[in-house]
Amino acid sequence: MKWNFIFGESEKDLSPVFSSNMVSITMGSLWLMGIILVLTWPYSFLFQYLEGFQIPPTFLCIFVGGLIMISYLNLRSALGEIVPDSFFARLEREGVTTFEEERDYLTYGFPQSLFHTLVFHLLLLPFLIIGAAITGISWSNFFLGLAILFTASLLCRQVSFFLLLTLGRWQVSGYVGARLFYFIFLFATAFIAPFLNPVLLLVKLHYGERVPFGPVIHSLFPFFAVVLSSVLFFLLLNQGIIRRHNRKRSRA
Amino acid sequence: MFFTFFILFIRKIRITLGLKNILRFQTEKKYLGRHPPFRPGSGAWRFRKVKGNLRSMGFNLSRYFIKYFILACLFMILLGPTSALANGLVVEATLGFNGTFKLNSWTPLTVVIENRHRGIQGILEIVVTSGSEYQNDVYQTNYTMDVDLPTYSKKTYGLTILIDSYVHPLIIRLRKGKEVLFSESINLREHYTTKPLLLFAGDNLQNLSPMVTEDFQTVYTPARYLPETWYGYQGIKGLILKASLWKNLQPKQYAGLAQWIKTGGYVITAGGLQESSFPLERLEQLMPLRVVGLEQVREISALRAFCGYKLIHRDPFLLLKITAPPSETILRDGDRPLILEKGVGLGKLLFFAFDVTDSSFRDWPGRGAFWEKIWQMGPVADAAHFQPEAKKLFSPLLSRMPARFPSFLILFPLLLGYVLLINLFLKRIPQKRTQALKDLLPLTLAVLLFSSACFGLSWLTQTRYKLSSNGILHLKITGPQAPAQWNYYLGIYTQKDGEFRFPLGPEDPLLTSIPPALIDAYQFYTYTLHESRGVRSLRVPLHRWSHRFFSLTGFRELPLQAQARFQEEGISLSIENRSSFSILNCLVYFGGRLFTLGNIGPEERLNKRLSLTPQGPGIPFTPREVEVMLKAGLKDGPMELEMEMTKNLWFSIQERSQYKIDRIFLVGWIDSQSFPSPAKPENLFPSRVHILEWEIPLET
Repeated sequence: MKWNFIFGESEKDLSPVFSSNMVSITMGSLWLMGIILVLTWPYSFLFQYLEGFQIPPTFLCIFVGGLIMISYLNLRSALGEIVPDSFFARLEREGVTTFEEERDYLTYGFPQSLFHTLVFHLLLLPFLIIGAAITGISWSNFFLGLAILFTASLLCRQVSFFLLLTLGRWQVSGYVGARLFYFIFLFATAFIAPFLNPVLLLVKLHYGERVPFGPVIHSLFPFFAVVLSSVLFFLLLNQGIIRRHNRKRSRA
Repeated sequence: MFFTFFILFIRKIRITLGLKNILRFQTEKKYLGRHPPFRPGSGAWRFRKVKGNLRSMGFNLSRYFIKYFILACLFMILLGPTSALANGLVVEATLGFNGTFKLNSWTPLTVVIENRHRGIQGILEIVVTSGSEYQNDVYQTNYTMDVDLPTYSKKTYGLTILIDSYVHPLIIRLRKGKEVLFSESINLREHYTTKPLLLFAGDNLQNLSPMVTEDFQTVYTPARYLPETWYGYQGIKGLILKASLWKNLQPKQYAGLAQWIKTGGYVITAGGLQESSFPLERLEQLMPLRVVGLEQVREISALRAFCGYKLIHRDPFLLLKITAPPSETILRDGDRPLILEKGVGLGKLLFFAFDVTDSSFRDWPGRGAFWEKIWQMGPVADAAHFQPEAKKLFSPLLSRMPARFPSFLILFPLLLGYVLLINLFLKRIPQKRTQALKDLLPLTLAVLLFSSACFGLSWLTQTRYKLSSNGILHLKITGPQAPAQWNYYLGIYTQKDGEFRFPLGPEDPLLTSIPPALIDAYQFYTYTLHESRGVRSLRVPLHRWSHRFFSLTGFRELPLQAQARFQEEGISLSIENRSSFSILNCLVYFGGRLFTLGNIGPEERLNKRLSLTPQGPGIPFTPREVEVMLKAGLKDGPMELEMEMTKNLWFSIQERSQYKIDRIFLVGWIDSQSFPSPAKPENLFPSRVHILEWEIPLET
């Protein structure tokens, strides 16, 4: 079993999970989540919320904040942007084919994506639990929310890696393309295809039938169907691209 | 449908008259000499033969006829059961008293369902829509009941509903699961009135009363439409019921009527020929009288003193000979009791020894004055009743709900410690890569441990109380023989979606929903009163982060007796508590002064003399003194809600009794744990203490 993607910090590792820079960024996301929790904490008494038929915003803010952070971190990780802070770090990595780009995607790159996304979610788990408990979210909705976060951030990672494979590392087109996809998927779909928008789905889980804005989305099945299909599609696509690149290299 | 297909695909119909044409068949000889298109004996050959026969009779069939004929038959088979079932139900609904009801009062609804098809087990649903689209406060109240209709059966279902708006039609539905078997809507505009009703129940009562008054609406109704609950008479000023009809009432109708009388109802019952033949068992349970015979008279002179008119008729009429206690006879003609009056609880029952449906009474010119006098004798409703303000009740009840947010002062250090610990573990991994796998284990454990701690903390304070309820009970005793009226203010608080069910118990209380303070909250206002096997329950659909308040009212006999007698410069008070609960912190009010009685234990009798002299123990009634005396009686810490409600009750008492010297008021608390519940649920009134208000008549 190759553990490079967990602990490695060489120039051939695209985005190790526990590299020094990644750890710093991960800790920063934890602090940010704590700040979100402090800002959205219900400082009034619980009965006052009931009296005014109001729902504490904690769950929505924590989960949407988590969605935005984890998805963006996955995006940057898949693009290989998170490198050590040394002056020569980028120079050392210019033109180097990473393990993720040359090894079988199904046995290396994809498990790394899954593992890294899982690590993000586990580290934020206490905040997510507190956010759900304070808003009185049921167990089923809590796990649905986790599933939304996981699948959405995994899709962002898959698409970013696809852009890395096709456009190359540290390319402006890849940089812009990944962020464009991020913006469209997390925000623009609210206007084009609301059933695909993870933020609106979290709003639905938060408010139930009392959604104050946007259309009422009755089922989460279309979202999961589309996103999981897309994950599978990009998985196969990335695998195909890596194999093609490997064949080219072997001929060369 | 079959007929439509038949018409569409017959191109022309020529009816051939005469036997000759009918007998003129086309035979296979038509095809002699030519190659027959079909094998003789085959289906197609037979069809051609039939077609030919029919053509000879004048019917020219299209070649598509057979195909569509079969389709039509299939269609009929599919529709058959549904159409048969729909036709198998006959539903007849009577709203109110023979179609009339008083607005903003509880009203009986009688539904007779006849099932002429296979057995049905379903739910009878009555939907009452209230509010106004203009004010955006439309909501629905559902009254549902389980129905079981065997094959070829007919049943009568009685419900009592509250209609507070005539704008929206009343909907009556019969459901089996999600399928609606029957639906009907009743336009309420033709049925409502805003006046109290004078109800004449029975046959031959039309045109009995000549009173055309603006104060009341006279309604004539068969006895079978009388309500089955005591509060179904809420809009009734008085009821006239022939004595012979008491035995014909359904058990529930009799129980409801008796309870209504005890709780302030006014019933006039008249006797006649039938009453002399049949026993009046049910009536005798409420009013001790005995019918010993009949006599014929031509006049009743005593009525002149009663209403100014003597009753004389050209033909003799019958008068019941009855025996009754003298104290209950308010009018007698010689030694013949004519009108009996019996106070039953808070209500009154009158008995006439003469038949008001007889022609002698109908032709009597004095009947208008007579009825006017009778209606004036009715019990006076207690208009000044303590009704706590909803606003002053909601917040204290809400604040007492058990759910709380986890303490920020506990959670913040916990999460801070978590972040610092994770930071420590994560920083070690890149530094000691060879032992990184070993560092992953404590990292994982830390995550799981802190997650469990966060979950446990929130569960203890909040999650396990996602749905909770509480309330406060106010008991009021008025009069020595009257049952105690109880009002329970129930609050339901929820942080989740779902349904809340609250069994109402066998006391059949009157339940009303208290409007929310927020106009936008009317979307959460819908609720259902469901009756199954004679037991009613409240079903409230829950919406997350919402609350609901209900008011329940009922009556219960309490084993409490009191006697107050006015003596020289004081009052002699005797209170007997034959119950199993204590009455705590009793205070008595009279003439602007408060007196402390302390606690009255179970099975205890308290005798006390209250001196009214200025030097006596009584304290002048002021808000401050009330608060001080209430607090002095507290044992288990502050109870803000009870204190607040009791204080408001005292202010209400002082306002009501300012100029009254015929009664004293006692207020105390009853421990809810020891207050008995008649049956399941064991704790119908979950609250800390109950407030007892007791009006004790003062004898001189």
